[in-house]
Amino acid sequence: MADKLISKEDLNTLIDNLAKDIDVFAPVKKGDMYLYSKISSSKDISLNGKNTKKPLKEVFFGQSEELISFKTAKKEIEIIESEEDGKKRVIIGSRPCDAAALPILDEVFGWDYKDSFYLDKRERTTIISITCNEVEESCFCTSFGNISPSSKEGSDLLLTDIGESFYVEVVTDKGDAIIEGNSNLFKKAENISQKDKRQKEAVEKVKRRVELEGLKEKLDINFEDPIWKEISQKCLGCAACTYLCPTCHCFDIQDEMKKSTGKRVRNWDSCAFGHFTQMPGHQPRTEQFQRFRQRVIHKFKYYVDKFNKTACVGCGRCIENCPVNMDITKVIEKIVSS
Amino acid sequence: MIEDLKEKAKELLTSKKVDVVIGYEAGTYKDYASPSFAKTAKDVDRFVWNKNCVNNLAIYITKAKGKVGIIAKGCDVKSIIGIIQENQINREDVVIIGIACDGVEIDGEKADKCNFCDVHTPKIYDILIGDKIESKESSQDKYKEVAEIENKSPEERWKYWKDTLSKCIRCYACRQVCPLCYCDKCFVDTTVPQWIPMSVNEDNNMMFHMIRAYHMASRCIGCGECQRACPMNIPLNILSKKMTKEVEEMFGYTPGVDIEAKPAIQDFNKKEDPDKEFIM
Ligand code: SF4
Ligand code: SF4
Ligand code: SF4
Ligand code: SF4
Ligand code: SF4
Repeated sequence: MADKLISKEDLNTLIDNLAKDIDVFAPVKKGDMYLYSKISSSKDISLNGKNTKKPLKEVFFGQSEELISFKTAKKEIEIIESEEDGKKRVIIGSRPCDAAALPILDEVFGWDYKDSFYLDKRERTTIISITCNEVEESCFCTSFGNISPSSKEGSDLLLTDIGESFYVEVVTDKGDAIIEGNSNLFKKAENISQKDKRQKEAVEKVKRRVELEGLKEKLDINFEDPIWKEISQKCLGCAACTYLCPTCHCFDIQDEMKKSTGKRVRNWDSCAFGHFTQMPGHQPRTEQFQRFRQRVIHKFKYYVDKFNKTACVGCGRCIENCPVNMDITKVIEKIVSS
Repeated sequence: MIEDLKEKAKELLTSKKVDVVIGYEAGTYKDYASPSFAKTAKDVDRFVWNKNCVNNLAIYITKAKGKVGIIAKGCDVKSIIGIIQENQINREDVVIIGIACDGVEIDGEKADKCNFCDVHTPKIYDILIGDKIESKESSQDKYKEVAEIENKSPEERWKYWKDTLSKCIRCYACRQVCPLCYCDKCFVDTTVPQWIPMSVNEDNNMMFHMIRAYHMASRCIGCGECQRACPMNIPLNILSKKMTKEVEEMFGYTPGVDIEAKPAIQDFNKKEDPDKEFIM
């Protein structure tokens, strides 16, 4: 699995070739934002520019996903399983933070109950990420040891723009298979120093940083600490931070009926909402500070206890999209120094 | 100005006239100021006042307990007027620290609302910070975007809203940030009956926005917070401005102006004027 080079032109050819047979998803500029979208031509893709508004998770765990549909007639119910098309899929141009969020989701969707909807899509998909060309003011991925604007965590291939070409680092067999299947487009790797330089530059662009040392120990014991009320005070309880977070994975399953037909849909849900888990009967977190606390403790303690890693990749979306400038890095600082 | 503001806020807290003063502190992201809650005179030292103080802090007065002091720009005061008119708080329980304001910025650009501001000096206040600023008639047309949509054919208009609202992810940031969306249970959250299914699609999104627009008619004071909060950049201002325009034309009512006035949505007095229209 040796590194390769691919010229920019050949990458476009690769994308166009792939799009003929399989589903290709890539960041596409839509109005004033970038969104992962299915593309049919390399012309639609935007590899520069801001990170996508919605995270990569939506390609595996859509906001509203039909699980089954059904028809009722008198007392009979006919259930129709939702068929996946089974097509292979490729993501091109995902950011390393978004890719790093996938192994985090894999744990939850594959831990005791195996979520076939999610896992099947994961299995069928190859992730080709790109070293970030632009870094936002909100990015703080380098605060986590294994994540950076050029980290390979969760990716199958990593591209780095070195001018005329992309330097291609092969991470997994899945990534290698893409190269094998299109070997005429890839050349032997050269210019490794240029790649290293670009990656180092990208890492240096990340200015926001949070010290995580001591956080977990604090969260282990501070559930009742009055600090939660204080730091959460301005939180309004919307779902901008959780819906747009690449690692948040809560959902609610509801049946939606129209006359005699219906469907069972899985929808994103958020612990920030006052009616979260009300549907199965009970909302244990009746006040906003408890809901805010849940978000922080889930990401930096409960998940860590269970899977031995943090459920945040530092993508900064929650900072950028919060209407009251709730800044998770400042929240962490306050907790650590409390 | 900021020194005067801090001094007045400290006085209110040390004399125990209020339990908390809601103001702004420096934000951490871009040109942003962030809501700040001062319970002691020392907390007040965090306060700032500058072009970034765009948030409408009135959202917090219906959530706060006890007596509240609030830093409010003229437009924010309009929503406080609305909240008081709708009996959500008592006038005596809030000390309005009004600010003479000549405009705020969002991402470094003058906020849309400031182009049409008629309340550089707030309508009501208990304390005024800064020298009174006169409001001049704006030379720009406040309803320009509304007219652009109105001029479309019904088919084009339908398509415009379908496309625009299909981007909505129903995060409800627009609702949560709105000082007049104070309902304990919003119609979108009820499950028995469930008025709108949870699925995010054109139809459900459209229903949410249409019903919310109706609920805001004669109540929205145009602070623009919903549009600012929307992560998907949906131009919600157009919807609210359209409703404001309709209410102005049909009922001659402008919200947020007169604390004694009866909002159009509460005014069912058909007896006195049998030709009068009902809003709902
Ligand atoms: S986006 Fe901000 S206001 Fe909304 S729930 Fe998250 S922290 Fe609270
Ligand atoms: S918590 Fe915030 S920074 Fe961390 S992964 Fe989620 S959205 Fe990104
Ligand atoms: S933070 Fe909240 S919404 Fe996100 S995964 Fe955890 S419980 Fe779910
Ligand atoms: S609308 Fe008027 S009061 Fe409100 S922020 Fe703009 S200038 Fe200030
Ligand atoms: S803030 Fe925007 S995306 Fe969120 S519910 Fe409102 S309109 Fe939809």
